[in-house]
Amino acid sequence: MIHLKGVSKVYPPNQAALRGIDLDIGKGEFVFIAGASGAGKSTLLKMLFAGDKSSSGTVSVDGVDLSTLNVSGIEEIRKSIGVVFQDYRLLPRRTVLDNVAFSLEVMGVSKSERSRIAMRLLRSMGLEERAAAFPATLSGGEQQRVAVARALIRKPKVILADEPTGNLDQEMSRLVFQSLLEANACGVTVVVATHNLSIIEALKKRVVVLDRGRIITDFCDSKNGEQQGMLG
Amino acid sequence: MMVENDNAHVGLEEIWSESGAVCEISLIAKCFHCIGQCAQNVRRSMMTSLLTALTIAVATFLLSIFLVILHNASVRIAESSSELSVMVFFKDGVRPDQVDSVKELVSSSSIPATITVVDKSTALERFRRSLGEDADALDGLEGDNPLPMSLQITVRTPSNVESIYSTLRARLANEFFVDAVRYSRSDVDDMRQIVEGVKFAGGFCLVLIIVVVTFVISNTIRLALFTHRLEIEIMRLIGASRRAIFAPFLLEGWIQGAFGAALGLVALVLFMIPLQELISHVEVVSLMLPRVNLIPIWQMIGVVAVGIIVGTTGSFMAVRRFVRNK
Repeated sequence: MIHLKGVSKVYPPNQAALRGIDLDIGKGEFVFIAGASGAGKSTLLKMLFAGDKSSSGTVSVDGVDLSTLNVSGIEEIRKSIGVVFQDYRLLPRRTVLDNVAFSLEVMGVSKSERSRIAMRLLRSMGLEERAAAFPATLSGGEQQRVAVARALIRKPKVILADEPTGNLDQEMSRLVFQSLLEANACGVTVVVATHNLSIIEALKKRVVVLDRGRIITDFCDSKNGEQQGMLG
Repeated sequence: MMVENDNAHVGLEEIWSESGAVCEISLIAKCFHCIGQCAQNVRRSMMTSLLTALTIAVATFLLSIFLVILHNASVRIAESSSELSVMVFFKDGVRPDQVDSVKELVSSSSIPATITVVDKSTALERFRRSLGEDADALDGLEGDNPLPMSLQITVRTPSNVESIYSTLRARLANEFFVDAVRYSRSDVDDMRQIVEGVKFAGGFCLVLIIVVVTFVISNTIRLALFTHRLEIEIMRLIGASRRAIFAPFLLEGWIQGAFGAALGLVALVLFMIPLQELISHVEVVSLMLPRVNLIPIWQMIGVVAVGIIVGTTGSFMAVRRFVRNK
């Protein structure tokens, strides 16, 4: 599903954020990208949704080489990618329901149709009572689950989450990851950049550890005590 | 940490099958959505929308004023040109056969012209009329009329005036009974030059106004877009096409342009009413410019079109800059 070969990213004047990354992520995998701040996690995710171009190497998602895409190609690939950010990025003047339904709205789906679908999604995530609320009145965890719902509504092939629980407590983090796992159980590939060790430890998924722009380890069992130390 | 995900995927699959089914949207539905989005944008940033429309209104008002000046000057030139005539002034005591010889000279040329004999009393009467209320100053001149007898030669095509003037001037230069051969070339030429100058300077100002207004509007709209920046960013992230992002804002610019231009034209009409009144009361002005006409309807349509182009271009520049920076 996701292939990176020799990917480097250098920001001017000469600051390398990624150095020769080789990474393969299969369809339906759940992968953590771990590492300390500045290790290159967010830059890596940015490459995956074509938010930035690599300085060298190739990045392909769902068989498409992102470096060769023009504007409409990027638009097309983004339709199959859901993105979740640490700061939620919900539209403050829209209700929870409207936020979740936003991508359907942009496609021109009628209000009644998109509201019905968004409401079902909110119900499945236990957020139906907050449908009419505005984001500012929600807790951080609720806002992040709304952001996940927004990413999920159009059946993405990949979900990219950048520190989705960075601002949340343990319980809220659990609920957010529950939503991501539900999507993963339906075959969605999930890539989460985080430095939340307790989550990594609890979920026992594949972990790719970055350090100063390089992959220093890639392992499937996060309970491996020796490798745990590398998560920093 | 315990994470529960038992059977939850069944719900998601059902929801996705529904959202997948409604994803095929007709073009008409998309257009309606675009209109709705545009209305929402205007409602959410009403003050900025009004400010943009007012900026366009001021610009189109200035443009219309320029067009009014140009239009009326052109009308005056056309009227003056149609009144163009060559005057042959005779010395006192000219004989009828001498006058006839000049008439024959004009008739023998291939230029079609109307010849009118203006005798001394007619000349005085004309002069009296031109003085209006001050005609009393001429009282008592009837017995000792100082105005000469003349021939007024009016040509149908203004460009022929120069030619007939040159011919008469050359042929009559040595005739003792002819005092002078004249025509009002300088007035018309001056007016032509003024109009050409106005056209050139006005054209330059017009381009300058359009560029400045487009720039101002693009920045005004950019202010309004600032409230939509997150929306645009999310739209880009979910793969909304550039068309879907641009369309509501371009429509907004279109409407603001049309509304602003209409407002500018209304302001022009309201400005013209007291102007007409003022002209009719100031004698010096009313002699030179007896009436001021509004611009023709096709020019009004052109003004609205300029407003629409400026509004839409301003919107496009603002959104493009915003989208490019994200």
